[in-house]
Amino acid sequence: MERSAPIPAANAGAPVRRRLLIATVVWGDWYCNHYLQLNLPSLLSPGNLPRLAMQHDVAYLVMTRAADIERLRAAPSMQRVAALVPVEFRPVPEHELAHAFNAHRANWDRATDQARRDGRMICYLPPDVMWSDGSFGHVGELISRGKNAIMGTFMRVLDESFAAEAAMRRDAAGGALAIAGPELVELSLAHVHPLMAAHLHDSPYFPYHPEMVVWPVPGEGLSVRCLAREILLYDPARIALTSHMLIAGDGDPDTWHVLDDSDTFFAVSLAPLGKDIGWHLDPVPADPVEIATWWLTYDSPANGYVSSRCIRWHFRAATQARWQRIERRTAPWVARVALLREGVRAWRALMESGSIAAATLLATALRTGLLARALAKVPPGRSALILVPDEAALVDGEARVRAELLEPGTLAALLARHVVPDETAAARSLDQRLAAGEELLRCADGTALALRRDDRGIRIGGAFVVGPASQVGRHRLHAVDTLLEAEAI
Amino acid sequence: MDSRDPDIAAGIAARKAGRHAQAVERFAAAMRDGAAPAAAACAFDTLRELEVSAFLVGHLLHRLRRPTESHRGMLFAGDVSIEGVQSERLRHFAEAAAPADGGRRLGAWAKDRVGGARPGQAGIAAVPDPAPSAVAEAARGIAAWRLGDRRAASEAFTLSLLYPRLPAHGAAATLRATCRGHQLLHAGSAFYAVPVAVNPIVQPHQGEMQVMAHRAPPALRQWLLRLLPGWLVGLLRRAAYASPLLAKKSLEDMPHASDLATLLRRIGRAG
Repeated sequence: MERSAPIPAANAGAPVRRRLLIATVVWGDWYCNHYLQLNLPSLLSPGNLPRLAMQHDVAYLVMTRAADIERLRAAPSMQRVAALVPVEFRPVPEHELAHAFNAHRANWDRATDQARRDGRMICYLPPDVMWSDGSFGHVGELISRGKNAIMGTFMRVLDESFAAEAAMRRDAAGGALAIAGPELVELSLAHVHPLMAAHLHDSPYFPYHPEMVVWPVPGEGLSVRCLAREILLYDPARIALTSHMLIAGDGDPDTWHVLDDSDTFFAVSLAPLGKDIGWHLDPVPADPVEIATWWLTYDSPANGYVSSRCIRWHFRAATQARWQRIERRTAPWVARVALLREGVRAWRALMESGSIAAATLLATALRTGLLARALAKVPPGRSALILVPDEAALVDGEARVRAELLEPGTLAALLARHVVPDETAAARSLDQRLAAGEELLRCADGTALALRRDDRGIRIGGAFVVGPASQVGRHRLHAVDTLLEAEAI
Repeated sequence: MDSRDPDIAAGIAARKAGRHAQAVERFAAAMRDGAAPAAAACAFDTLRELEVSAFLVGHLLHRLRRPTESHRGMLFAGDVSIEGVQSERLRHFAEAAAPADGGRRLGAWAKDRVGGARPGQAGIAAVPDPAPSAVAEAARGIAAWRLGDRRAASEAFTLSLLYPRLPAHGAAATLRATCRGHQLLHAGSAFYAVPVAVNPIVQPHQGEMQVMAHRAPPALRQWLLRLLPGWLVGLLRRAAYASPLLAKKSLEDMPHASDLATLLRRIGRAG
């Protein structure tokens, strides 16, 4: 369970003024209306763009269909934005706008290339999102302190009723829409979208796209864990993204930040009732193995960091003890799903390599909770050397998995004996271990197996290593010619 | 669904915009005006979306200890009930089946099925679904495990990781793993293995399932799909499928077996 440390005061070092490009892709009545009525007015609240423009060198790129440019340029809220930061309008070919996700992706990619060339950070500003006052001032402070990647998640609300009520709070004189975090959380819950409610950890209609899991804190708000999060703002010269817009490659988690308190950053995403309802129309509760499988699709080295953060959306001052009690409960849940995710990753590798009996045993352990039991002594997040016995050692005369190996106690012990946790970020090879003079492998069950090289090759306990290792995520899979027995130590 | 009926078309547009109450009113009007079966189906789906949505929001607010009335986003005070629409649908089901032999039996079956699709009803998950899915196989595996049938359980657990989470609608379900360079598929009552290297697309063609080898690398396909307008993608796709240059094979020519274990052993030997 982790929460962000408070941002150090200014005397911790002079804030750095950075160059930043904000990019928005917006077209058509639905997007344009929400953009002009809610997004820009909330961006104009004192703690947002006005504050950010004082902190950093900000430029704004608006990509839209040619027919919408004049309407957007002439809008009073856009003129106020242009008075704060330089704004460029760029037409987008009509055919690119047929699919909303693709339209955003293609044009954000172009904006990112431009930001990289100009030495700027890039901020993707969706047009259908409204911000609490102070959100971008907080983001500005974070990047002043050296953060290179900022991830924020949004609460989804029903567009029509929310927009009507929020618009009434606009400042009549200047048109800005300044709503502080707690007040905006309160308003959002009054218009909360069913998809948000479906993400409740015990929802009977849990979505098949579980990007976040929510625990209610009665009377105060929602505790949220994101499993994977698209990026809001980052430095494209230092960070690359996956095809799902998640952080790719290795990076320094000290320079990443998840916006985790609605008092300092809160945003709502507008959507009509029925949007993405196919995600949660089937009466299927949360299944940790299915969530783990989904998580692999959205794989990113940053997911461990992102899911470790406890996000608080609260409409009332957070009672620390109450929130911490719930956050303590959510941490093992996330750790368990992360373990299952690594299990599914290994299972897929076993299937691909044709180790079907081993894959069958692992599938059984995944679905029955025996994997967690087998690896109970291993701290969460460890990489591992996984030793896969030859198929002949696992099957009977009819080429079926040996029945005795499927007994719960035997299966858990078997798994614990064949997994060697490693303390390094990526599991070391046997050659590396031998070169370092290691003579023992410490298994997940706590026993030690002798590691040595002789004329026939590398021997682990009573088994010989067969062929080269395969890299599976952070782990290494090694085939061995037989089952590892305790007495072989 | 008859979207040529103006009320149905207006209802579909309203539903897409999230105005479900308005959509139900239009579908109800279409039901009164004679487009009953299609309109009743649309009204039922819309009402069900409303019911599930209201149930979920109510569940969240209850857990937050906030009154349901504090939600101001989904006001629906229409006089069209899901029960009424359901009766109407069932009447049409029954009428459609009556000339054969089982109007009443079909009605009873449909009532059980549709009646189960209500939010908050504990019995829903217990309704058996004949189509393979991860959810169904996981449940089957757990049941077998608790009965001590470890082998049946382990087979079901393996299938639960392979099948899509919920029953697939297409002609072939792409399984969620590969084996020795083969993509595994489930179509009809058999399992198939198609080489991943050919980047296969499976399409029904002239009464049989065909496997088409996609020549373009995935990254290029993604890029084209992002840049090209939908109508052009559709046109290119049709042209590609009709092209004699595209390698096509019947799915039956691929390694296949009626059970997965046999197929996996076969691929293993070939590999």
